[in-house]
Amino acid sequence: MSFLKENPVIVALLAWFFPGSGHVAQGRYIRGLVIGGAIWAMFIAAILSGGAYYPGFEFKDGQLLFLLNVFAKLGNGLGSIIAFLASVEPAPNMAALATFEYGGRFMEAAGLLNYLAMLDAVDINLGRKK
Amino acid sequence: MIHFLYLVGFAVFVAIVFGSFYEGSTRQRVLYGLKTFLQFVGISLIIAWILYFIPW
Repeated sequence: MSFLKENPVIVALLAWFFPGSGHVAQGRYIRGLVIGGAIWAMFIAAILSGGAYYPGFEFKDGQLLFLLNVFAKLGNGLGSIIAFLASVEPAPNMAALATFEYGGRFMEAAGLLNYLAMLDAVDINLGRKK
Repeated sequence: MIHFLYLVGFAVFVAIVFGSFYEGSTRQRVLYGLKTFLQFVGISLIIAWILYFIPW
């Protein structure tokens, strides 16, 4: 799309909000679909494993760990909103699930990978990468 | 068993994304992704065995 040329801020916001879209919008369809597919698959696996509820404690208890979790989770863009909505009323046994911690890790990793994808899309936009 | 499945799943997704970031031909990207996947799984198993022998 022509309006995206040399407009890294828009590309970064687009790539952050919907994983994979930063590449797709710049014509890198296959790369965008592969990256977006992997990140969304990881995010869905995290939601199904109960990762939206992770870490399951208030800010005052966790502090730095909590902030790291929030930073990583925010990387999912639209996914972080979905995760927030999913975690509003957790099931009583959610923290006892065997996959609860893994879900939390998957959620964080998906967000961090999306930050990398965002930087990759910006690099393409600025011509630093093909 | 579920722990190992999560490890493999994690390695697959991260390797796919890392492979996509790699600059080079499609073949080089696939090979890089494959190498990353094997390193994730292999190093995790090695660390698991080392931890097994540490008594705490």
